[in-house]
Amino acid sequence: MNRKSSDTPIEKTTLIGKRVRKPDAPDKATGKTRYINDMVLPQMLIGKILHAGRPHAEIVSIDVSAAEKLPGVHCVLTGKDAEGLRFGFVRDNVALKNRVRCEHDEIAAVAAETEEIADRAMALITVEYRDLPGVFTPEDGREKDAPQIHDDFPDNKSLHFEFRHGDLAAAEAASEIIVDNVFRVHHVTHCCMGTSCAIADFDSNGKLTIWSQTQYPYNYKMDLAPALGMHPGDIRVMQPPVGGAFGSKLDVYPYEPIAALLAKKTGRPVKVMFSREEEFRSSPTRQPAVIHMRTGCTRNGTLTFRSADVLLDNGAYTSWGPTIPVVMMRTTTGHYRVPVVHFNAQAIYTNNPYAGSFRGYGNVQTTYATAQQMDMLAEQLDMDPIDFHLKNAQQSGETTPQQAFLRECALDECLRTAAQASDYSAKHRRYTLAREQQGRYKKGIGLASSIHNAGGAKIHKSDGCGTILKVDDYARVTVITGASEIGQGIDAVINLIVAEELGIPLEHVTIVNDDSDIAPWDVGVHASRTTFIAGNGARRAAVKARQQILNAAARMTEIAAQDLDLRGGFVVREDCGTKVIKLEKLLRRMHFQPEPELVMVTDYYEPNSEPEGADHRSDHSAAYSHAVHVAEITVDTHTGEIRVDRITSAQDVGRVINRMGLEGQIEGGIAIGLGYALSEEMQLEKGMLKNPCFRDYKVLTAPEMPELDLHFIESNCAEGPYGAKGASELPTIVIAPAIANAVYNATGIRFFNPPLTPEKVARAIWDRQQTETGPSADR
Amino acid sequence: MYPAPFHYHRADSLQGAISLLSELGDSARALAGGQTLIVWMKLRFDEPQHLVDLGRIPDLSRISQEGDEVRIGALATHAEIAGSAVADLLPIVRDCGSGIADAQVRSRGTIGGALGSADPSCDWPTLLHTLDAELTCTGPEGTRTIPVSELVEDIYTTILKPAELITEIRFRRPPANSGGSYTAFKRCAPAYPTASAGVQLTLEDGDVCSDIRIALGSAGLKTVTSEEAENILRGHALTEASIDKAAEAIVAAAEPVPDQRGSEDFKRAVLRTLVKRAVDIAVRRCHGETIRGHHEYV
Ligand SMILES: Cc1cc2nc3c(=O)[nH]c(=O)nc-3n(C[C@H](O)[C@H](O)[C@H](O)COP(=O)(O)OP(=O)(O)OC[C@H]3O[C@@H](n4cnc5c(N)ncnc54)[C@H](O)[C@@H]3O)c2cc1C
Repeated sequence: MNRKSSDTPIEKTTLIGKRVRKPDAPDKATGKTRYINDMVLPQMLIGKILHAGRPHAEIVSIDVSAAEKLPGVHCVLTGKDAEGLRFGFVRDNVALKNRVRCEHDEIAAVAAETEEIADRAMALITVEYRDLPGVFTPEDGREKDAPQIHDDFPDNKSLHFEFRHGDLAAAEAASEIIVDNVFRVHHVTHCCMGTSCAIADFDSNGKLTIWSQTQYPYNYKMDLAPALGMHPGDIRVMQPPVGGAFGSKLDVYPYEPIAALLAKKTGRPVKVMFSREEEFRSSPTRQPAVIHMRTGCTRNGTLTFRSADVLLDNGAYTSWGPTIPVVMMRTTTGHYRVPVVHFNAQAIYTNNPYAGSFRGYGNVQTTYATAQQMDMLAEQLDMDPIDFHLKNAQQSGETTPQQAFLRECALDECLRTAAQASDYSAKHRRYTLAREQQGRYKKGIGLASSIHNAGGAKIHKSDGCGTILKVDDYARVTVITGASEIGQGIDAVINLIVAEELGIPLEHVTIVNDDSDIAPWDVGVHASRTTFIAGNGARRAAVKARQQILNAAARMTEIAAQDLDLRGGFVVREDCGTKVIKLEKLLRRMHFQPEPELVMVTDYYEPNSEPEGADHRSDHSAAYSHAVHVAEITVDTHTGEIRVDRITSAQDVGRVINRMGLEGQIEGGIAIGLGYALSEEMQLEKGMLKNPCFRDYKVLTAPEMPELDLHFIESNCAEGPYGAKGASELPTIVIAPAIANAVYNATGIRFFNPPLTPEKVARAIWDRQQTETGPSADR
Repeated sequence: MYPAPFHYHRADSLQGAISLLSELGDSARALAGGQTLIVWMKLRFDEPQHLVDLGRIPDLSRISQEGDEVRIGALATHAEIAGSAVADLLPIVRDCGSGIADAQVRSRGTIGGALGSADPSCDWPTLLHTLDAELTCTGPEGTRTIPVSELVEDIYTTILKPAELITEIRFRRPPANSGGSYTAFKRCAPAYPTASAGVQLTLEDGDVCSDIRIALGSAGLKTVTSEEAENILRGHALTEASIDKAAEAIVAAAEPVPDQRGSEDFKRAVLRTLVKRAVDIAVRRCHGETIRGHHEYV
């Protein structure tokens, strides 16, 4: 035994709940990170895409001959080069089009030596279009004589979802109060700081390597393959650091197969990277929707039913966006104890940019409606909203109509914590009274809550994640995980968990998750699942390695394995912490003993949940969680400005793992939600984006962030790693309705159509001043 | 979005820049911070064939006070001005400089460029109207002085002659019993204002307003001023009613253009509010209160 090292025993400590920095943080903060956008490969060509720039048209002719002749141009592709290579959720998309269905449709693509040459080549392509009348709202798309956007999707109908539970007519009849409103939520986009980018390269055997920003590398292969006429097994996905994704990289978008088609044709690596303007015009959007919601209750404040009729603006193609009703349905049916629920959603093709998935995935849209209707009902009942919420809040052990089993439910505690910390009830009463008084500035407080899956979402046959963990002869650990890092911080979580189980310094863990040929399968970063699923996987793998190490130590020291522990890079005695052997020394002995032993383990973690299923009645997540936000605002009634003074958030996170990462996720989620509520909006005029730049598309920035008061409720999820639940989407989901409820509290005006821009708010206030008939609604 | 190809020239002296500009003629532009010009070129609003970079000309960014005169070199950046001793002395200057766009733009963009671009959304020209600034301009025909109010002929067009450059901005330091405020309404911090207002006023005993200048930015094709509005307040004690009336008068003179930042009537409402806000802060500053001015945004 090593006598030179100090003999002081090592106490048992834990990293769980501590603040741990992301391993990539120093590189990112100092500008050292090489993002995919920075990558250059030898021999690499630059690919550029010619977009249609009109919403709906036939292509009469296209002439690329001049572009092809330009020196430095290696190839020009058009619709005929992608014919029959359909891809997408319902196979309605191709990489290069023969017909225009939305402004950004990809008509031709060029690969050239430099970006300048590619740009010049684009200018030499001549296309003759015959413009067609378009469809720009889902309502118009449903009209009998509406222009048809896809020949094989009659009546412009894309996906349809329905869920019915209970007798709606009877429940309505039994309701003493019913609120009935139409909410119209708008187009926003992700605004990733790193614009969309892909680099494709084929080897001589026909294997494609694609450097991608994808957040779901394994199903990505499956989705990309048909766009190229390839077998998914012949695609290798590399994942260099990305500048944000937020759901926007949860599908294949045309620029990716275009990069591959150009690479194939030229035999050279090809990089396609969007300009900021292209990013605004061509990346997916959050799904806009018209939500007709009705909610009822009895005089004593018991909810009786909720129904939602949702019309979704699909845009020109069906990406994952139109599947968001699966999640919308859950808020509608599972948000508070509602005995009777009907949900019906129809996505309609339009000539608008098409929707993809976006943090919050449908729940953002429906919670904007449900949380405001909770507020309206409370008012009509003349009840403190918090009491109304508490009266209808589910408890642990309850099951929603969709069969979501709320094993550990902390809605009650979230409500009470947020209300208490913000002094909600007293302020709500005070501001309601002050509404009628004179005064330019009006204060308001608003509360909103929601439910979201927090233990994955089994929308595929498996919701699992693979992990390979190896410990080398210096006690350095490599974790090869299927979980992607897109900035959300799973690397720090896995790092922390593995260091915790193996008793080693955080810096001694390396995470490998950027190569689909190396890392094992995983569903992807979505549904707030990664900490839960990949965290569990990492923990299980680490526990296996730990057991193997302790068993070996037990054999060598003749101390029983259960009396040993790993701490501070040593094997120690569990009871007193006395050092037994240095871990790296033990590992070397294991390697070099007569029967050598490597510490390398694998794990495949599949959460205990049920597949979503066609009738949407299943316990599809291994955990569910709630968040409550209270927003405090000041409205300047002269200019309509809303200043957000403070957000109090109480969220059931199961258990805090990396506190700093969690804070980051909640704060970032709130920032996205605030932009949705207050300022972000894609201004579309007949399918054409009018504000494709940050000058005109207003993302909130650091100076506009309000004071935040975050409360983490630890419900200790039995299935989660150390009790943790997924957490990242809820903060984005609840913020907009909390703001809208606060604005109502301040002004008596309901806003059904976000964003609540100063002009919109000012106009509503002026209109009301003109009519002087008390509370009214915006138009 | 890339600019059309162009030639780049670097001037080493003011005279060098002027001769180069006159030699190259119509197809040349002076380049200061590039925060307007390069954007225009990217958007193809402008396609100059030559850029003459003024950035290395010595001594054109000096900020000084001599007696009661303040002088600011045309190449002084927004950040330099906002961090200068002049801004310590005159909070209205800090209001303006520190509220422009974001840190990147503030450390590149210059006061001369803001004037030279004749963009009614730019903050400095509005502010300089309230201080009755004068501009020293040098061209092939020599040096002359132009009141700031005469610089702009129309939106994006100045009265400067070919190859004539603004070299310095000068104004008289307002008296001790004077206070100013500059305030802009923005959709978020790094955005051009939806509307802006500057007010500089002097209060005599009994709070009689002995002098006042008001100017509005983003309120039309040029900076908007109104003698009528100023006359309503000049020589009287300020009351809520008179301030309302003056605000009404200057807003009536404004012709805000509806755009993505807002419709015309909304901009008028915002302007009205900004004038009142600026008067309020200016008065409080006259009374010796320290108020951190800020651009308003939501
Ligand atoms: C994202 C963004 C946001 C912005 N927001 C704001 C804002 O909120 N408020 C604001 O005021 N401005 C804003 N700006 C503009 C910024 O302040 C510019 O810096 C300024 O308007 C121009 O200064 P410049 O030095 O960059 O001039 P340049 O762009 O170099 O030049 C502008 C024009 O002036 C001419 N010129 C330059 N110097 C002289 C001179 N000495 N004499 C004569 N002509 C000259 C040039 O030839 C050119 O025509 C913003 C800019 C950006 C990119």
